[in-house]
Amino acid sequence: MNEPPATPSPPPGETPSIESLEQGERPFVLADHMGRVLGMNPAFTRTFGWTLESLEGQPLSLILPEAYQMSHQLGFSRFQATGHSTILAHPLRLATICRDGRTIVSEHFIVAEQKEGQWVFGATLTPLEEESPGP
Amino acid sequence: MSANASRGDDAVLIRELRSTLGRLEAALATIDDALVITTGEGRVQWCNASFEQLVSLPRLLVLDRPLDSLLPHRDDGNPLLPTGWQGRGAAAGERFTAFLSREPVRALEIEWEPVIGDPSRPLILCFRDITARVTYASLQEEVERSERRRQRAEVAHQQLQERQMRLAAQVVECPVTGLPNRRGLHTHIARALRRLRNSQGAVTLLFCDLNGFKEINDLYGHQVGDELLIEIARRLRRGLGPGDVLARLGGDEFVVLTTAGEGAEGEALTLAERLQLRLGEPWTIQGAVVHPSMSVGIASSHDPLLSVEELVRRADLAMYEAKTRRGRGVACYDEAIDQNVRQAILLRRRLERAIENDDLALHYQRIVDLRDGRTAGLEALVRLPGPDDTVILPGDFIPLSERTGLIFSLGHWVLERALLDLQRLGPQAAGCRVSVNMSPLELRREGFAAAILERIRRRDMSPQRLAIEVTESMLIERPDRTSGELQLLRDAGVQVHLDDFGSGYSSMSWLARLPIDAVKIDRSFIAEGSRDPRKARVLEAMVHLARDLDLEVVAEGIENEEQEQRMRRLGCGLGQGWRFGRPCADILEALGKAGEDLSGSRAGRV
Repeated sequence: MNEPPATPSPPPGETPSIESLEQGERPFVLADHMGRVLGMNPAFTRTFGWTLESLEGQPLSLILPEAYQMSHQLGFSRFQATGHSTILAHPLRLATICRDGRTIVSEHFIVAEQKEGQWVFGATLTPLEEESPGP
Repeated sequence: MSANASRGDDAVLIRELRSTLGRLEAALATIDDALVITTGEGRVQWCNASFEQLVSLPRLLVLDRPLDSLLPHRDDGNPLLPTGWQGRGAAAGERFTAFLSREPVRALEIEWEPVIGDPSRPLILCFRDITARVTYASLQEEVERSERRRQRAEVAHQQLQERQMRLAAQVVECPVTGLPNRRGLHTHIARALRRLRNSQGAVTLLFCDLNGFKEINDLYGHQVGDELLIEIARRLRRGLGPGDVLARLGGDEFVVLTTAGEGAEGEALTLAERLQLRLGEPWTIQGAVVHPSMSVGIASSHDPLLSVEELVRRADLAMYEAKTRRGRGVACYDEAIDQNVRQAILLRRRLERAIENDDLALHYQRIVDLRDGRTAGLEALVRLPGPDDTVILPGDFIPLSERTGLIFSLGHWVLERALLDLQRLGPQAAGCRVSVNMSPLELRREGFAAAILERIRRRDMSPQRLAIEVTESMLIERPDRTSGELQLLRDAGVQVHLDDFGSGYSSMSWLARLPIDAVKIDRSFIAEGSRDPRKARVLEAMVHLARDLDLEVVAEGIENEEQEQRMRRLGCGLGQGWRFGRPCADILEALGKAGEDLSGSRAGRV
């Protein structure tokens, strides 16, 4: 199991920028307004096994367990339609699917920013201590 | 179409779909119904905000968990969804109602259906809170149930009453005495009246009402009361002639039906006296000897067309007349009795209204010290306003008030007004004592003395300013009980005066035992003392005895100087009567005539 990085979570009430998340040591992944993967940092690849080549342009829901996918898609859609979300900018305990099929329970921290008129989403996925068995 | 153009179209389509889905998701978050989508195995895939509230968990914590493990239980402890619900709902879905609690009511309507066509067979479930609907429906149902029960009970009650009435109509006999009851008597009278059509003579009723039966019932209980009724029936029956009928109407009322020739009334009077004689034989109960007595009202008719009810009514009225008369307690109906009854009813109404509207008046008559002519006290005398500015005197309405129970509210009014008037006098008459007459019925009431003292205390007055006047009969009839009550008053400072002394069954030996402060010698001795030497001797003896017993003596009804001087010579200390002034409507005026200062204690000797 990977050790969580030493960098602390952002203090409550203060939303960090995507750039600051990307520059941190936690596993980081970037997605566009359609939910397609745009990029990731090396820590993400180290932790979950996914490479940029394997995920770029793919739906972000690939790294989520099946049971979460419907809720993810609807929540994503709702944000796009209404600008309202219940999951942004606070830590979420979620399972993450590794490239090899394992499931790692992680703390997801997702932020959204507009760039050139389009939403982009950046998220840190910090593995928690326990590791779930694969699906 | 190129691949790039196709991808662009897809992106637009996806955006549109996402926008639609997003709006639906937002819309579903606003509804009260809790919605959840599960896998075919019942694991949660999605839910709306109301479902989060239902299970008290945020969405992320319910995803992928079995729905069963999240839901609250039914009020009986069973799971909300039936076992194997996923399989049951897989084909066509299901809907049912479940209670989460009964007190207070909380109910859900649960509905689910499969998503047909999706190979993973997801299920959509809806949990709708129908508590308000169920509560209202339950209330409605309960109201309707109660109404049905009430209607059933009413019908049953009515049927029971009809049955009782049918049965009662068949009963013609008193269950206690075995005598004919009111219905049986009616039949006998009707038959006797019919016989008058073909023969001479009269039908006569003797309406007999026992005296003091209620007291015996209260004192010894209903069983003894019933035994007495049986004994009375036996005695009366023994006094009847052949063909006479004895019936019991109920309570302590018996009726004798007799038929006679021309001298019906005379024969009835003889019969009444014979029955009274038979009845009056002593009867021992629980070691006590009772002398039963009764009042008898007689009504006769030669007219076969007179109704049974009218004949009974006449006998009843005559009986009431007999009760008001002193002596043998027998009265025969005549038209004057009807008139008397009507007048009594009018008088009773007038008295009730006067008490209710505070229309009574209290007059005051001076009681004078014969030694120096100064005012020693006042006697309060109640007056009832009559028609055309006339005044009705106590002798005309007190007996009626005692018969009807109005004496208690009347007595209450008199004492209150007397105390109020005394209070109004203020310190200038602090030594003035007012005498108030008390009825024997008031004196018999439990806590009589305490009630009077409490009323004096409430007005913050001295008990020494009040005297009560009682008659000797009430003291002699119930010496122990009344003596105790009167002594309580005397201990507190209220004086007790024996009124009309010499007019009743006066016994000199009683005088020493009674808890009294003064005797008021009946006016008949004052009036006749000068003409009748025997009365004069008795008067002299009464004054001397009272003085020897250290009792103050008041001579009532002094009307002239000669009577005043004679009473003074006899050593009588106090006098009252027209010689010193008629009763006066205003207490201040009564005192003002005396023109005296009553602020000291001297005037309060009586």
